[in-house]
Amino acid sequence: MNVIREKIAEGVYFSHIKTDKYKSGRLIVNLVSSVTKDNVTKRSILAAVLRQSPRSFESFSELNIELSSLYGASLYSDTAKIGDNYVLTLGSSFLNDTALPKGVSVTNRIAEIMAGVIFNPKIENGAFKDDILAVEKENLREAIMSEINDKRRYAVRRAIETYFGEDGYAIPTDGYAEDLDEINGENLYKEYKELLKTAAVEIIYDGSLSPDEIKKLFAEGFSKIENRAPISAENKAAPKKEKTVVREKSDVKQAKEVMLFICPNAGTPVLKVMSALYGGTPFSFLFKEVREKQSLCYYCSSSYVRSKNMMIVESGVDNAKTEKAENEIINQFENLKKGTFTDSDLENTKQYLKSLCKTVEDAPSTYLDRYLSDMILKTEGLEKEAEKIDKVTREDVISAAKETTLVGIYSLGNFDNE
Amino acid sequence: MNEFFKYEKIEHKSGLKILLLLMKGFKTSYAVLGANYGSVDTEFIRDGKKLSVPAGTAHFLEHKLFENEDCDAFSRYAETGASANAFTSFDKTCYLFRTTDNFKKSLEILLDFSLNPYFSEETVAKEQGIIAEEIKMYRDNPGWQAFFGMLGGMYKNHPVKTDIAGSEESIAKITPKILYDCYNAFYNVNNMVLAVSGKIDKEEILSVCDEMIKPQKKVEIEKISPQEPEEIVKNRVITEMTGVIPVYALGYKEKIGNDILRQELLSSIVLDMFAGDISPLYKRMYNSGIINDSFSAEVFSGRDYLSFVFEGEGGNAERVAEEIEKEASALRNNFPKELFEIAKRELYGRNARAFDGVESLGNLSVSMYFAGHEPLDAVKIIETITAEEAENYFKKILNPNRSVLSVAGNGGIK
Repeated sequence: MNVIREKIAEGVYFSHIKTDKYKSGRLIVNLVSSVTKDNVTKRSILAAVLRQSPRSFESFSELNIELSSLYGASLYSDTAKIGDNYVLTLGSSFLNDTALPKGVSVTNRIAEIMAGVIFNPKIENGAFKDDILAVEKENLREAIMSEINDKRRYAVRRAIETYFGEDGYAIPTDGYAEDLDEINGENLYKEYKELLKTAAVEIIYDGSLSPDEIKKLFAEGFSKIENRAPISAENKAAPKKEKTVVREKSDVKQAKEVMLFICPNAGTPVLKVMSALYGGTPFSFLFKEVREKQSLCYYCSSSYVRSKNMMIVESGVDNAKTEKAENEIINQFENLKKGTFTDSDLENTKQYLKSLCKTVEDAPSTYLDRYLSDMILKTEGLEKEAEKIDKVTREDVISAAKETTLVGIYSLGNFDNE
Repeated sequence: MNEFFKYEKIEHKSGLKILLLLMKGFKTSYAVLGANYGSVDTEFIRDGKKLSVPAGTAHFLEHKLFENEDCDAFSRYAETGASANAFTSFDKTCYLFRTTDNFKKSLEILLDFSLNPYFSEETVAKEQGIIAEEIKMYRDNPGWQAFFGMLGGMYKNHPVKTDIAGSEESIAKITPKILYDCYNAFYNVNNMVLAVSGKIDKEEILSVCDEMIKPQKKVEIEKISPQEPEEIVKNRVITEMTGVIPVYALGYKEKIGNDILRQELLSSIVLDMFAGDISPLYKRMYNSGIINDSFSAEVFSGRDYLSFVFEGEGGNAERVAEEIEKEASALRNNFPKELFEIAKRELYGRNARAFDGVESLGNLSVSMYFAGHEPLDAVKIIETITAEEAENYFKKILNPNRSVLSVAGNGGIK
């Protein structure tokens, strides 16, 4: 991929991914900052309020009407964590000129709308408007409460929360429902000013037009903010502590089991291969042995979180079989340590991962996500990663596995004896 | 019309239809082999003989086909680096892979396992356990429960009301013989389609097909459309669940015209004008907290069914239903024409953006093929839909006597 990255204002970087193969383009503006338990809920609600309150539109409804008129452009705000960084994203996906009627272009207008969303929200007397805030507070409260509707996601978040405890990594992206009451138009406006002043900014455009207009809009916008002093969070390693085991009772038909493993500093390529060989492909230990041969789970897989050197194993298990499944998952990891995989298992896994690295280039939103996290975590891009994956040996994998420890078990199920 | 991709349709000598969708600049190739056979096809006539099979058979067959006598497809794909999968929907079954290297070998594997079935008592029994777990998983999902609750209230006979995977009881009735019967009916290459999107090497694809696919004798399949009344079964459905925030699904059962694709597109435009985020109704409900971000309005349709579905989370299901019914009646003779062009552009944009993904383009082409259309037909038809047509259509839909409100969870319903 041909990417040009340049600094356009203090702590503001603009990246242009040059390609004309897509019919649609994307523009994402990412405000990267650290976050604490005290301000996470404000940051989370801020994302929602900003999306709904650009000053130049009477209401979100008029904004949506214009977006639809721009041939169905999307506009969303979102919050996520990349390692210890909290990222507030405003993003849009829209048609490039090549997919539009002759003479029509929407890109620059969308950038203008987005700049309005970020720099020029509806503020009255130093405060966000109460009516918009009230609706979004209720919205966020309901979103936080309904996390429980997706048991798989809920279980992963709870597993991280129970192991990481007071560590910042355990702070939930959406914030806390109980903190919503204290948020008002004034303190939210203060938080907004603070964020614009202190966030490191990554703007990424992938589309077929010249990025000059877009760059200019955001360079001007950020240059007007006084005393900009970006501070992003330092990404910390996962804490080393005693293993946590938590079993939570819930009236579910299928139990969820999440296991956290902390890996050594063996580098992302080795650990990705290890995790994929263990449970990241349909021909891995977990898939073949635990799911297929022993029919213990409907799903059972591992994934690697590179910002924390952590491997997460997730499984959906019959309530009565959780203990058996748990033992078998651990048993399979012991097999991995003993190296009971063939050379072709290893080669196939590497081939699979390398192919994934390449296909990401044809999936623009995945590519953007990966590029953004490389910029934030200061990590190597996919091409380098693919090259290094190619060189991973059996010994690399076994020695990394030997130093990997199971640190947390969380299960949610309809257990009899609790 | 813009050129979105380079398209070619080939009739292979074996009877298989091949769709080539070349996407310039892409490194990935995506192949999807589709059978015109989904969960709704539980009754059909094959060469004059009527067959009825248990709910969930199409999905079960998909799982089992992935595995033949020697080893499962996943292990074979392992050698190529391809990411492979399969899925069953209401109206089709698809086997797919995506890769940047070893395309030829991957295509050989795809054609080999899908054209050489092996089902035994033992493997069927094992799969019953795995699929039972899959069905259970969905029982913990209130969105899924609300949706199928709604379908159950809406359709008296149509098999679309049944979970794609079937039930633990229905899959227990599946035998190797049933699987072979369905396979021989629906996996005849004359009734199948192979779509390849992204990077394309036409000669290679054709030579693999020449080598792997023997011409097959056509089989005559007649799918039996169920006799479905216009009326609904019941207008309120509750699925009790604890430990969840309630989820609702409100559906309106609609009549089907002759041109289902056009009706689907027309329905999307009208629905967006009525309850999309550009509509006055949406603004009112959102600002008063009756709905939240989780609210969505969708057209749910297939070969012989179409309904409007409004879904969301929270305890306001009855209020949402009331507001929607009121608005439908208010707009029946006061159609918001000013939103028509806007909704039409929105739909065009959404369709055109789907052409950017190898998977979305490949899957879309298979669906369009089975519906008797070319991949670009939808964007072409959108252009021809008029405001007058939309206004007339709106007068005929959203009949309050054909609506079903379903809630999974507790509370929120009278």
